[in-house]
Amino acid sequence: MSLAVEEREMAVVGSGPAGMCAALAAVRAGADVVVLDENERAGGQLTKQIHRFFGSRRHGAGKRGFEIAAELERECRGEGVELRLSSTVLGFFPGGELMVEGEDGVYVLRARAVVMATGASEKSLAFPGWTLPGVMGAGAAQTLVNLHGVLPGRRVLMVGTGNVGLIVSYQLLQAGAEVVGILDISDRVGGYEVHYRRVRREGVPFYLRHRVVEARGEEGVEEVLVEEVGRGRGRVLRADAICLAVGLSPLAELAAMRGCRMVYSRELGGFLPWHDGEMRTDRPGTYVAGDAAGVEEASVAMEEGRMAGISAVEDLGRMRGEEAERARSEVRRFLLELRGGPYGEGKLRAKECLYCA
Amino acid sequence: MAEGERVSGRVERHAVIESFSGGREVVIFVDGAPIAAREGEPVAAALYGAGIRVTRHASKSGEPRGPFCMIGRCTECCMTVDGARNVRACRALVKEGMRVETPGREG
Amino acid sequence: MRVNECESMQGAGGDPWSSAWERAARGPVAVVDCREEIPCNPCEEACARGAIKVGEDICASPRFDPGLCDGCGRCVTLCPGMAVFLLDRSHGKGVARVTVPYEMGGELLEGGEAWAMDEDGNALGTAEIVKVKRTGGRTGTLLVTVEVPEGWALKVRGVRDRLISLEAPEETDAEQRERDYHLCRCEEINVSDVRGQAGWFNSLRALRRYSRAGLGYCQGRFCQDLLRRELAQTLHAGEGEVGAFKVRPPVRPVKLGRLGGEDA
Ligand SMILES: Cc1cc2nc3c(=O)[nH]c(=O)nc-3n(C[C@H](O)[C@H](O)[C@H](O)COP(=O)(O)OP(=O)(O)OC[C@H]3O[C@@H](n4cnc5c(N)ncnc54)[C@H](O)[C@@H]3O)c2cc1C
Ligand code: SF4
Ligand code: SF4
Ligand code: FES
Repeated sequence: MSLAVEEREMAVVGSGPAGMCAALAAVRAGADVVVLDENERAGGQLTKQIHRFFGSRRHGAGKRGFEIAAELERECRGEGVELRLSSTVLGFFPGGELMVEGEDGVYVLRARAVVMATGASEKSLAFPGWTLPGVMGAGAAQTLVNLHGVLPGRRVLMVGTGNVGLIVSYQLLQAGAEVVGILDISDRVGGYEVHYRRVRREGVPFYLRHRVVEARGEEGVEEVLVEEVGRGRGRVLRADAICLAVGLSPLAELAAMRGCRMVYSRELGGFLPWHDGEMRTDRPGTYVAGDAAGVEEASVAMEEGRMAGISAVEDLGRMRGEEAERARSEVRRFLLELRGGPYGEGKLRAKECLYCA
Repeated sequence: MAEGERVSGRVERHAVIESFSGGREVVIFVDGAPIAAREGEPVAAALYGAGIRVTRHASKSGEPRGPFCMIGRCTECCMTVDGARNVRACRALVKEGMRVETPGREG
Repeated sequence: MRVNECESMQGAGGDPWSSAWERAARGPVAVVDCREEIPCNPCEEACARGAIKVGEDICASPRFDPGLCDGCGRCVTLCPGMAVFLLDRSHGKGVARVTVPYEMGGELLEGGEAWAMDEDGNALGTAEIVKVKRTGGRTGTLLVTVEVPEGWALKVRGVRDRLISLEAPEETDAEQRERDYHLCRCEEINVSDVRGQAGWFNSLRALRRYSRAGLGYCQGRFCQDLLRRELAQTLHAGEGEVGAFKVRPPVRPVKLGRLGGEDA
């Protein structure tokens, strides 16, 4: 099998906030950069987010996710980054070549520097009936309502009280669905208090210390039996959809294929490629950034993207050591700020652990 | 679920989103029956919009399955589209007159 | 949810609502009801008068100076947590006006009525909508001002165009009967099979080869985490210790013929 081969200086896999910021940092130093994304729109997670982002105003917080994506995309195009959409990276080989499926077929892209900014994938939860139509990831529900204007159900049960579960519940309400409950095995809400409260004031019941016993229905979910853990008492909720928002894990399949050393971090969502504080993996010319390097938030993804971009152009010989170091120390300062506070602490520690592992 | 009560359906009005992926209204056929769909939206979204949740039946047990990820990764939405088998309905885009078949218990 | 309860940023008592009370007698004033330490600061940027400060440490909770606030409402619009409100007691005795951000699809019109909701989603009653301000285009946030009896003033947190039923269904005995279910959706491998076999293997790769769970169309993308959890539990091991599936190209299903005739 012989495939066409394209040579580029630098390739970025993923056009989310991390990927676009990596590309911007590199193109500003004069590098030739192509960004590949399997999606037909640029922006990654941001394209599906209709809420105003929490985070730092330096990173667009206060604007809606899709607005932040549009701004980054405009900047990328303006600065000469090539955004190649509807292009799926199928493989990343030990020699550093990417196998890409574009609109007209499969080809090989060889780049001297590759940044993996592939984001995260949703975790699942299995219970009797979880294979019934109507049970889906919270991300799938978001795709349906926010991109296509279709309801995943009229009466939805959300599983998971993290920020994703809370925010997607709110979005379902905005689209006109009823959220019949938000359930969590834990006895406290996982996400930010402000997100909890804006869902709660709409009248959505919270079932904490609860689990799904089973989902029932013929051709799809019709009702769900939930149980308070340890009490043996339950409730049958009438629902036609169950959305799973039980966490995200780094989407690191390409890194594993490339032969990067993989490490496990519970705090960061699962297996991810080992990397140093400058976003280099243990393979030459191979960098990682954003949720793929540990699940955090958009502001962090942007800074990690910048960091990866800077390290890449330094290694490509386009930026002198001291200049790169100056740029990186600024990024480091922002990252430290973003990882302050009780929610960031764990991530900060996990990252520091990783850097010296 | 009470008789005649529709699950899923279309968003009627939205305070924050101006437009959705689909274009003009067209007709596609699901197992021979016509449904309204919007040109350019994913087939799986069109099905959900019409209240159809089942996209295939599992090959061993025959249990119904439906879209799970909506981004082309889980393969639960594999249907036969215009004669081509194993097409992911969450990635295939609606074209006027498209014929979609639900893989049956025989797979 | 970790609530930072020890410190008040707005004055005595720590409740931003009660501490806005006096100032509200002179006209609308912001109530910044955000007390957790989260990495967030659009409210600071929103305020041209410098009434809200987060400062260098982005995780600090916002500090608010009612003396500088003129009740313009920009912070109400921009707060992603929808945690800022306006309180106004300058419209006569016995009534108060509360302004809340609104992003639902309901049609709320000036002069009409809306349900005033408390923080737990209970309806306090209906209230007159005295003002609806659209901020920024068709997709902007609405600032909805309702006039309510003074007694509700500290309780209103939201408005709705219609009520939904809050009733949780009656409790029943949860059935103890545990039904079996698939862990691997594609190959239809049951959790009981996996549990039965898990003890024989010390790695996820070996378990996959033998049980065939994770070898289906989706290449284990959806069952890998589930299998790992089961195996780790059986072995009393950490999830990191049982490892991960080996990844082979292509990482996404590819159309027949595109890759030299191999359909993944
Ligand atoms: C519901 C929800 C609400 C959120 N709200 C906030 C918020 O308010 N504030 C905040 O700061 N953060 C928020 N986040 C988190 C934030 O969206 C993510 O942290 C951020 O998007 C991560 O950026 P990224 O660039 O690393 O990855 P992503 O944005 O996930 O982008 C990854 C991209 O890579 C592409 N890709 C993956 N694999 C391949 C491949 N093999 N080939 C080609 N392309 C590929 C994907 O298509 C995708 O476009 C939210 C997340 C969710 C799910
Ligand atoms: S209402 Fe206006 S002046 Fe008052 S804090 Fe908010 S933005 Fe500042
Ligand atoms: S913008 Fe809102 S949620 Fe963010 S810190 Fe300010 S008040 Fe809190
Ligand atoms: S719904 Fe998962 S592949 Fe289509």
